Amino acid sequence: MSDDIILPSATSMSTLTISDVSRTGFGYNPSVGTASNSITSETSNILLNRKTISLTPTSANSIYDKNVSSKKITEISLSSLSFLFCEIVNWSHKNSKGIQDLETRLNGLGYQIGQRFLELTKLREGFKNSKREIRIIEVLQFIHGSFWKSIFGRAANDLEKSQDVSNEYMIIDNAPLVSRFISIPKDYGNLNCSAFMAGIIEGALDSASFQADVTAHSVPVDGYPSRTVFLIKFHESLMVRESLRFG
Amino acid sequence: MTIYSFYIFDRHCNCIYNREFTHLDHANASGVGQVNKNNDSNASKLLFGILYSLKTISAKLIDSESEAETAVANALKSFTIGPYRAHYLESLTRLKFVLVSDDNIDNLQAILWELYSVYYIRNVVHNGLSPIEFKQSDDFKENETVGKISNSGFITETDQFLQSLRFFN
Amino acid sequence: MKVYSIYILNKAGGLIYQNDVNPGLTKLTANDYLVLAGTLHGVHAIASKLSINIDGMESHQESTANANSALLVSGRSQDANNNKSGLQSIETDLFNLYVFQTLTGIKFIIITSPNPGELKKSYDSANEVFKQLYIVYSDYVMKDPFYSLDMPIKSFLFDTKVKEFVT
Repeated sequence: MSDDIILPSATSMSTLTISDVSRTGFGYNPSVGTASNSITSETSNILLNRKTISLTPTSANSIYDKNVSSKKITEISLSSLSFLFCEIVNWSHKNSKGIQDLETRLNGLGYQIGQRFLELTKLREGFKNSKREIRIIEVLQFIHGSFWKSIFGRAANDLEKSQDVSNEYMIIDNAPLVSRFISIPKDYGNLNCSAFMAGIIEGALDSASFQADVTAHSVPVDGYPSRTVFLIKFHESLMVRESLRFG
Repeated sequence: MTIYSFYIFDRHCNCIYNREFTHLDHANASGVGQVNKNNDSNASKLLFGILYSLKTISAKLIDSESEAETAVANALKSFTIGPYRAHYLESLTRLKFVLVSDDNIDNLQAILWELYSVYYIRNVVHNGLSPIEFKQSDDFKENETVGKISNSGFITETDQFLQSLRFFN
Repeated sequence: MKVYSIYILNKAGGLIYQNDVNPGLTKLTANDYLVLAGTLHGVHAIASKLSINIDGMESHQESTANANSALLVSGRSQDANNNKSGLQSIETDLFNLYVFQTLTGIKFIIITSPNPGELKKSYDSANEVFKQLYIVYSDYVMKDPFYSLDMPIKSFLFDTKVKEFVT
């Protein structure tokens, strides 16, 4: 029986000496306490081994070496995406002045993705059967259908037109991919992290010359706690254009 | 299935009896395992600490009054630490009996009860020459074996009883 | 086996989640739950010391080393439960309690109805609950940007998912 002091939870690192840190890398050691899974030179060696390094852009197997118009569906890990998005929200939250500002920032980040992804989706559709949509209803069907599918792997759940206001449309997704694991705390009001996805839609519509404001609203129903309505509000000028062309 | 050790604690929280059974490797097993006595170990103190905390938790989490059938507080029966399982029985006089076995043995309540009701009662309580309070005296010196059951009848009979169990080895 | 209660402890022994999913246990005050969690954390640490002491079993350090090398060779963890030397379960007359520890020191604790005579079976069902709980925890707590590490879990999605698999 050694007479070591049992430290179930060391309050600070200063109570421990260097020899207390587990020599063998990761893992929580209950008799050493919180310090046992700190990052040391040994553990960082494990983190930076060959397998993890091989995913960087300089390796031969990176995303830059793949054919951009490949028909093959490329899948990425939902976990990695969620962790990345988690950090994106955290980072935006840290820089933002308030809830409204946070939503605007997320929207802005999504906007750039939307602009680029519109090009990519059109390119991948192929030039033969691809055409440029010029009517509001057609472009919305494209966003709701093939555009959504190319980003999120499936079409959105619903596409509706507002009954009261003529320039408002709604795309409804029962479980938005990026905010699937996110629960908004009560003191954050009606913040919805799918503002990022609203930004993607806005970016795509804008580069297709359909100027619109897109916002995300949570409308939970039974069985779908994170159901989100993306409200698309087209500019007045666009409605005039539409009526001149097809009126 | 194996039994590793046997402890008794009295109502003053002292360990009054402990016995560890060393088992030989099965490959060169020549017979029964040796029995050795290990008195200067802090393991019993750690064990008592665990017992005491778990006993409190067991009694606290379920209110005995809410359960109509049980008149006494919810009692701890056993707990598992790593590959070991400790079986626990407390008498009404707050004597605590603990048997440490491997974790394949489900229930040793009957054995603990027999150790108490037959061997302890017969050899310690009914024995006029044996003390039943093992409180350490004030002029207690270190490494003195006062405060332990040193009654040879009790030691041999419990050892024989435990070794006769089919899951002793 | 019926699950009465689920607790989650952070690596310093603080209670970060507590949910009485099915009736069966006495309601305690919030402070008592914190004390309870701290006690279990302490007992777990003492127990890991004791189990090394009882017999010359491989120390915690060595078993972590084995887990690490196995992880590096095969690329996947062999067993998510890192609770090899500490307190694993308690059996009492009216309930059973099981402890699960992740590689990072988070403890999941479930309290279930007692199943006398069905030792192996209740172990297996407890492990099944822990597996589900670990998955739901990694999904709905760790991937939530509004959760800060080691703080109480308030996510309502996590609550809903926990209720789904225990009832």
